[in-house]
Amino acid sequence: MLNKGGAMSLSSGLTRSLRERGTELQPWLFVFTAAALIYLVAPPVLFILSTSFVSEIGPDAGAFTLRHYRNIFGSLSDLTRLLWNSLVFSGGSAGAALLLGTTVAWLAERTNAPFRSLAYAFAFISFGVPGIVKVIGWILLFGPRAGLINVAVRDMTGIFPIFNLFSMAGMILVEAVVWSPVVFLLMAPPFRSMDPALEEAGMVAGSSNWQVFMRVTVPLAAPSVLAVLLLTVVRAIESFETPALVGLPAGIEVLTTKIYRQIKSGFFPRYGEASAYSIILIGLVALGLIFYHRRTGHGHKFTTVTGKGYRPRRIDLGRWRWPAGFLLLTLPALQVAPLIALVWASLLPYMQHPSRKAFELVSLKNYFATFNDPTIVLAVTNSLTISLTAASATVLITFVAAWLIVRTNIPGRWALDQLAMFPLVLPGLVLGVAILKLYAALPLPIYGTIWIMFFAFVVSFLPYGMRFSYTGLLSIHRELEESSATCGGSWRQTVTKILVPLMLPALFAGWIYIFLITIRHLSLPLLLYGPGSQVISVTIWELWDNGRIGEVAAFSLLTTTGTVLLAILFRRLSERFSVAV
Amino acid sequence: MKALLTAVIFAVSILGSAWGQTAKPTTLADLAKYTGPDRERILYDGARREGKVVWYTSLVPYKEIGKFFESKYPGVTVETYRANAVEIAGRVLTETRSKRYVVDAIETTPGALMIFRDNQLLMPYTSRHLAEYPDGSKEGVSGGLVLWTTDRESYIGVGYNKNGVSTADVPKNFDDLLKPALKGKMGVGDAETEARIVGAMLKAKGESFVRRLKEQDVRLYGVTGPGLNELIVTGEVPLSFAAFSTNIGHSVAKGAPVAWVAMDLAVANAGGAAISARAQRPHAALLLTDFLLSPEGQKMLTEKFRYGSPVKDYGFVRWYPEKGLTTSEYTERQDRWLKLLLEITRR
Repeated sequence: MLNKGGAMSLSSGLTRSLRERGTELQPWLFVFTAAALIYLVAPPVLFILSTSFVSEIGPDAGAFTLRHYRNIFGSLSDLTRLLWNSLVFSGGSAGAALLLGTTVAWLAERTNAPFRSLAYAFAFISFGVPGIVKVIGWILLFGPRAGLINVAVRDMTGIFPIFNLFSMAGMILVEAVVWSPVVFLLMAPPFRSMDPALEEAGMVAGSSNWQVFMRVTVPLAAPSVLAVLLLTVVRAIESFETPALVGLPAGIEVLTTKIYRQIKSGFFPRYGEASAYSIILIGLVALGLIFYHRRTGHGHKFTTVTGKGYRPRRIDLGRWRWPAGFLLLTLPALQVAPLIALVWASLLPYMQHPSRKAFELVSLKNYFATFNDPTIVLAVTNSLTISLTAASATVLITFVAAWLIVRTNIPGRWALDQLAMFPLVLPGLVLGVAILKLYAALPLPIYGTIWIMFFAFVVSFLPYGMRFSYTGLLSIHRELEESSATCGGSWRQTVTKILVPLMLPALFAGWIYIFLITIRHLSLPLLLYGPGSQVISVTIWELWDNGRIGEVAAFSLLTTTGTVLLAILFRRLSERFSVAV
Repeated sequence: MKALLTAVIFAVSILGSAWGQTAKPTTLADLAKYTGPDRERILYDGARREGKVVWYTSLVPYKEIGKFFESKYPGVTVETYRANAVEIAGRVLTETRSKRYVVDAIETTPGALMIFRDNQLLMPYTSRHLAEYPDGSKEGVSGGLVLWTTDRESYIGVGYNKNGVSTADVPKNFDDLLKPALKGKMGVGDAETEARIVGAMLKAKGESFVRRLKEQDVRLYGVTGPGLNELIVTGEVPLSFAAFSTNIGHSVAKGAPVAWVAMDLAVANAGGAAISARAQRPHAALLLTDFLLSPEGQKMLTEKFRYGSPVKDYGFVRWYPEKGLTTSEYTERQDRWLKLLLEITRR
C-alpha cells in the first residue's frame, strides 16, 4: 500500500514521463509548425515589404525607392487625420462590440437568462451574410434620406431623420453590430469553462453577485477579453465595407479607404503606397501584440478549467432573469434588422418602401431566378470544398501552434503567434495579389485551381484560428493533461482523450467561424478564382455588380440558410465528441 | 516588254491575293487575318478540336453570352474569368511573366487593353464584320487588322429618381447641375470609371465649373456603378451625374421610378474584343470574337442586355476619354479627374 508520499512520487514520476514523451516531440512539432507558418505567411509579407520599397511605374520601374514612405509621411496632416479617424472608428466599434458581445456571452453561459440558443443561432446566421449586403441593409433602414425606419418615424412623429447613419456614430454602430457575434462566440468558451470554485469562494466570503462578477469573473476573463479586443481593434482598422459605404458619404475617410484607393487608382494597380501603409500597420499591430503578451505572459494565472471537478455554475438572476433575457436578445435583434430589409428586397423586383403597390409586386421570382444558373452547383461544391478544408487546416495548425506557445518552454515560441497574427494587417487585395503571384511563379499544380483559394484563406484566417485556440487553451489548466499521465495515459491518449475533447468547444467555434466566413468571403476569391473555379461569393458579387439586389438578397438568404444548417449539423457532431462543459 | 511586265505583276498580285484568302491558315497569325468565305467553318472545325475557349471578360452577362455561344457552336465550351479591367490587367500580366498562357480571348475596357497593347500581348486580327464598325471603334494596326474592336458601350450621364427630383429640376445639361433645387441631392461613386464624367465636364465647361459643383454638397459614396444605381432606386441618392445608362435601363425595365439623361457630353464606357497573342486555342478565340461582333451577337448585347452600340446613333454626343492618348497620358488624366472629384465632394 502506498502512502501519500509514495503516491505523489509515483504521480510525479508519471507526469515526468508524460512530459518527457511530450518533450521529445516538441522540437519536431515546433519546427514543423514554424515551417508551415513561414511558408504560409512569409511570401505575402515579403511581397508587401519589397513592393513598399520598389518603384512601380515610370522610367525607374523596378528600382529601389523610398518614395512610397515619403509620400505617406510627406502628407502628415492627412496621415494624422486618417490615423485619428481610424483610431476613433476602430476603438469605438471594438469597444462597443466587446461590450455587447461579452455581456451576451456572459448572460448566455453563466446565467439563467432565457433566449440563449437564439443568440447562438443568430450569431451563426450573421456570418453567412456578406458584409457588403449587411451594410446595405443598414443603409436601407437608416439612410438619412430614404431609410425605411427614418421615413416611418417621420410619418409618425415628423422627426427626420431620427438617426443619420452617415456619421462617425453610424460607422461605429454598424461595425460593432457586424463584429459583436464574433466577440460573443470568442468569449463564450472561456465563460463556459470557468472554474466555479473561484466564484463560489467569493460568494462564501460574503460577496454579492455583482462583486463576484467584477472581482473574480472579469479578472479571470481578462486575457480572453484582451485577445478579443486586440483582434477587433485591428480588424476594425482593416475594415473596408463600413468606412466605404457609411463613412465616405459623411466625408469621413480612414486608412483602409485610402489604401483601397491607392491600389485601385489607375488601370495599372499601384501596390507601393498601399504596401507602405500595410508595413506601418504591421508595426502598430506588433506593438499591440507585445503589450498583449506582457499582460498575459503568466498564463496560469488565468486558467479557468482545472482538474477540480469543474462544473460552471449558472447564476440565478431572480427577478432580473427576464430583463437580462431581453438584453440578450439585443444581439439577435441587431443581426435580424438588416436581414429584414434583405428579405423585403428579395421579394421585390426593385427596392422600395412598403406600400400597397409594393405588396402587389411581392413574389418569389428572385428565388427561382437563382436556380436558373447552371454554374450554381459547381460554385456551391467548390465553396464547400474550400471552406471545409481551409477551416480544418487553419484550426489544426493554429491549435498546434497555440499548444506549443502555452504549454512548452521552447525559446522563441512567441514568434509563432507573431507569425500567425501578421495576416491580420495585410489588406485583402494586397494579400490576394501576393498569393496570385506566388502560385503563378511556383511550379506547383495549384494556380488556376480551387486550391489557390484554400491557401489564401488559410493565410488570411490564421489570426482568427490562433485567437480561438489560444484563448481556449489558456483557460485549461495543464494539470488535466498531467492527471492523464498519472493514470497511465500515453501522450497520444492525453491529446486525443483529454486535450482535444476539452478544447473542442473553442476549436469548433473557431472552425465554424472560419467555415462560415470563408463561404461568403469576397475580396480573395474575386482575385484568385479562375475559369472553372467559381465560388458562391463571386456569384453573389456578380449579381450585385449586375444591379440585381433582389437576387443578391435571395441568393444570400438561401446560402446563409444552407450553411447555417450545415453548421448546426457539424455542431451536433462536435458535441458528441467533446466534453460537455 | 513593259506591257508583259505589267501583266506578270498583275497576275502575281491576283494569285497572291487569292492565296491570302484561300490557302488554309496554319498559325494563329494566319488564322487571325484569314478572310476566306470558309472562315467560320475553319474556325468552328478547329474550335471543336480545341474543345473550349478561355475568355477573360468584364461583361456582366457573360454566362448568358457563353450559353448562347455554346448553343450556336456545340462542342465548344466557354470557360470564363469575369473581373473588372484592372483585375484582368493584373492577372494577364502576372500570368505572362510566369509564362502561364491561360487566356485565349479578352473582352474588357480600353484601360486594360492599352496596357496589353503596350506589352505586345494582343494578336492583330480581322473579322468579316469589321467593315460595319466605324473607324473610331477599332484600334487599328495595319493591313485591315485590328487589336480590338468596340463590341459594346454604356454611357455615363445623369440618373435620377423621379420621386426625389421634380421634372422641372431635372438637368438638361451640365449648367443645370448648379440649380439651387439640386443642392444636397446629388451623389457619386468614388471610382475612376465615374470620375471620367469630370473629364467630360472639364472638356465641355472648364475647371471653374467643376469647382463650383462643390457648393452643391455632392456626396461621395464608396460604391461601384451598380451600388450607386441601387441608392438612386431607393431614393437615398435622388440624383447622380455619374450614372450608367445600362444600370438605370435595367431598373427602368423592372418598373423602378428612375430615368437617365445625357448631358453635353456622354462619357462612353466602351468594351473591346481582343485575342491573346499567346492564345492556346486560336480557332475558338477567333470564333468567339467573330460571334461578339456579328449582327447576331450585337443584337443580343444591345437588345437583351441593353448595351449601347458604336454603330448606332442615340441622339447625344459621345465622348471617348481614352481616344488619342497614350496609356500614361490616360492614367495621368484619370488621376487628375479623380482628384478633382474627391476635392469637390470633400466635406
